[in-house]
Amino acid sequence: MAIEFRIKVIKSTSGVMATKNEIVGYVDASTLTQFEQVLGKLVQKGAKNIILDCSKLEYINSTGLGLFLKYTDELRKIGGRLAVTQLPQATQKVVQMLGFDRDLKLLPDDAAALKWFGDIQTTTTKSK
Amino acid sequence: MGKAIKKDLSVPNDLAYLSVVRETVLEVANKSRLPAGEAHLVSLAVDEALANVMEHAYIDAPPEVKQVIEIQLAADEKRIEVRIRDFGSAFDPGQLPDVDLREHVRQGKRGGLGVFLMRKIMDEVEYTFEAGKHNELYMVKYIDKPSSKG
Repeated sequence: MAIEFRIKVIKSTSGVMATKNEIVGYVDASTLTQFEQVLGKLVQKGAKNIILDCSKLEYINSTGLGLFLKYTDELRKIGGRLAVTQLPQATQKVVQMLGFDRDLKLLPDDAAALKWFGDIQTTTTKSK
Repeated sequence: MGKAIKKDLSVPNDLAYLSVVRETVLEVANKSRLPAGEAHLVSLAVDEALANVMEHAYIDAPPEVKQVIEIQLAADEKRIEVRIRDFGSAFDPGQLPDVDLREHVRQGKRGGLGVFLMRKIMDEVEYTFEAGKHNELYMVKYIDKPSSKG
């Protein structure tokens, strides 16, 4: 199988919830539409905090990385966040080349992502 | 002096073959002196170039045109060379203007990013067209020159 998505809702001990999407396989021109549809559906169904787990991502092209950026923006607009975890080193270099490292939130794992989501929620609540 | 490595392949105009070509590029690059991280970048440049060809070259092709793409890979001590040849319409991504990449993505546009990366990763990118015959994209990566330019 070229690409597969393992989606589940996870929760931190402090009650922060997130939708985790583990990408298994590769995102290239042949699988890009599938990837975009899955992300679109998650947002449509109300997911706000999304983790893209890239530990089993074999390859991603520039347009795929462009979708990471697009959904970072989309989620921000609705008060959510996108965290990208375990992105392979070689792909992190591509992210830098494209200048996307300033906007994408690259984190080591689920725990770091949940903590980040939690910190943002706390800050937002305090400022209200 | 290390042995030169060569690999030729011909694939149908079908995006499903992109992964096969990436694997082959990695196989050649890993046999050369190119560092592993750079091998990934070269396979990315080839994938982006080939996807461009597959998405554009044969759109208006008459039925008698053979919809195949030939890829020649060669590596020696100093460099890796890639030739991608198709028999469809001429499409020169080199003519595309530089774009503000983030703005490009935010506007929901596709493409553009791949051409930017091809230029950034590879040391030489050249397009040649022979009307009625074929189009060829030629790219070179020098082994002792890391892809951090620009």
